[in-house]
Amino acid sequence: MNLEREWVERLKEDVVIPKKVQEKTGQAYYKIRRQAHIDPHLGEPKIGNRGSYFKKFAVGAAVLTVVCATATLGAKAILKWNDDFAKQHEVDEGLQSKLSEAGTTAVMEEEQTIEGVTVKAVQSIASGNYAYLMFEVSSEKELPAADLGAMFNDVNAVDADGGEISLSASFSSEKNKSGALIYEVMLQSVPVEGVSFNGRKVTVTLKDIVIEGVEPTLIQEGTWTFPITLPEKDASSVYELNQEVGQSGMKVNRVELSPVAVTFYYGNQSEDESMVPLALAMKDGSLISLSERFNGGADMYNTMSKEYIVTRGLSQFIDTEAVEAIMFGNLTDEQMEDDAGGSVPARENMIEIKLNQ
Amino acid sequence: MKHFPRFFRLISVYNEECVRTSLEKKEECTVEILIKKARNKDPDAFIQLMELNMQSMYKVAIAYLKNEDDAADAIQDTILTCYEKIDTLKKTRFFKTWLIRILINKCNGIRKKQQSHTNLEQITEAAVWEENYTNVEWNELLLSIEEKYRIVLYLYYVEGFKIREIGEILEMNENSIRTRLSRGRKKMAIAYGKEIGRSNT
Repeated sequence: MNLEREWVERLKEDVVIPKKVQEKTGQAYYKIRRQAHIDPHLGEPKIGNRGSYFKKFAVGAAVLTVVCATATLGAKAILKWNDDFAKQHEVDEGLQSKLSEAGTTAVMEEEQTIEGVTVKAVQSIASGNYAYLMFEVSSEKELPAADLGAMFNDVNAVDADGGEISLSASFSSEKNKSGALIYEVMLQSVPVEGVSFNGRKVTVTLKDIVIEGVEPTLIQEGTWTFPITLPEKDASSVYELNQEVGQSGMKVNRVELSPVAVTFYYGNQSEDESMVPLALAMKDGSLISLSERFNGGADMYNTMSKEYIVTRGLSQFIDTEAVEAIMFGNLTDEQMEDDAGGSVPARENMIEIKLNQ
Repeated sequence: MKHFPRFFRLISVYNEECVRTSLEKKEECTVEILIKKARNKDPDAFIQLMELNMQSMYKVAIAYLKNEDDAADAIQDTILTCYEKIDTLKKTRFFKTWLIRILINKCNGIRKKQQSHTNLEQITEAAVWEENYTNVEWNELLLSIEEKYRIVLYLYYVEGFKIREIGEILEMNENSIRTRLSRGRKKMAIAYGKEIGRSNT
């Protein structure tokens, strides 16, 4: 252990909360309980500080008006990908054509404008339990710099039955060529056989653009709603492996690969938590690091099949037919702590499990 | 994650920024539920939330005020203010940043009051931690470097705040935070080295 780690560990050690601090906090708690007992509704919701951006943009805008709402149901599939979508997910022209022809992706032309701020759904891709939707946000007025931390204050997606879908979403850190902000939503569901996003109707609602912070700064109020039919065809493939990963005691039953996600089904939960899938070995000899490509996911335990399931979205879309093997390995503590990740050991230092395509 | 079939047990969910251990994520879920309840003025949830953050609050207050009595006052005021204002907290994930910012404001308030009564020049940074105080060793290590460095160092390494969040808490720009972190790291290495030297002799 180096010195830096030693002093950090020392500072992290729990300390004894002194009696005088406990007494003072006890008094505060007593006051709070008494107050809650007298007036359980103490503190009605207050209007937050709207900050300078809101003042700049919302002068005279007392009523929210939908100027133009041209959202159309369904998606129009064409071969030409949206440039930002292709760039964001590092998809070359060959893979663009392949995924378009497979019916896994669709270009959309649905937009809504509220007080001069237009949100346009531009492209979607869905495969199994993952779907990505890209939106473009443009405005006649000045939009904040992309790196300022713009976000929609509330984002949700529901299916046709009104069931809420798990998602993660964010603006990209750069504006696109036309000066629009790019916003992407990743939808995710539990990997259950026969359940897939493909062909499903979902409604995505984006509410209020703000600059994130302890007290978000409101830039534009509004609710942009998009009913979207996700692309019909699922391009994922399942590979039965039934192999132990080295001597780790961890058995991989199968792997499900899709252009947008990878899902591992383990026969048991590994005792060696540092043994993780590190990379996809491609047929051309290249390695795609999974640690830096993971883009959200979940760990689950199927109590019926007794399988431990690890699923991850991929930020770089892949050609599943070009994958030769999954590479597993041990990560050092430093690598595990490194947010950026991405470093992959040499191929000979990893354990390879071939996909037998 | 919502709407799981019954035969699935969710161990953890990752968002685009987080790839952490299942245990940490479980703790985050618990905290999120507590924050939501606290926002609805549930006193039990709020108190539980405060107790979960007591170590952090105490350590930050000591790092600022170097005095248990003042730290106790700052924490008490912080708890009351947080309860009063928690319904204005928009995003649960900013709870800790918000809490620490309020605490630091309280600490600054206490110090300003002290300054009006004391000639600050008479107080040296190397304040002696009284023997009858608790956590003597911990405090000696933290207080061994100047305040401007120790606060940033503590928030970054111990509390795990990002540079941008620290900037928001301390109302400083990110470059200044980076500089303080870099210098603070060196100073702490020297201070810790000296301490090891002392304990070895």
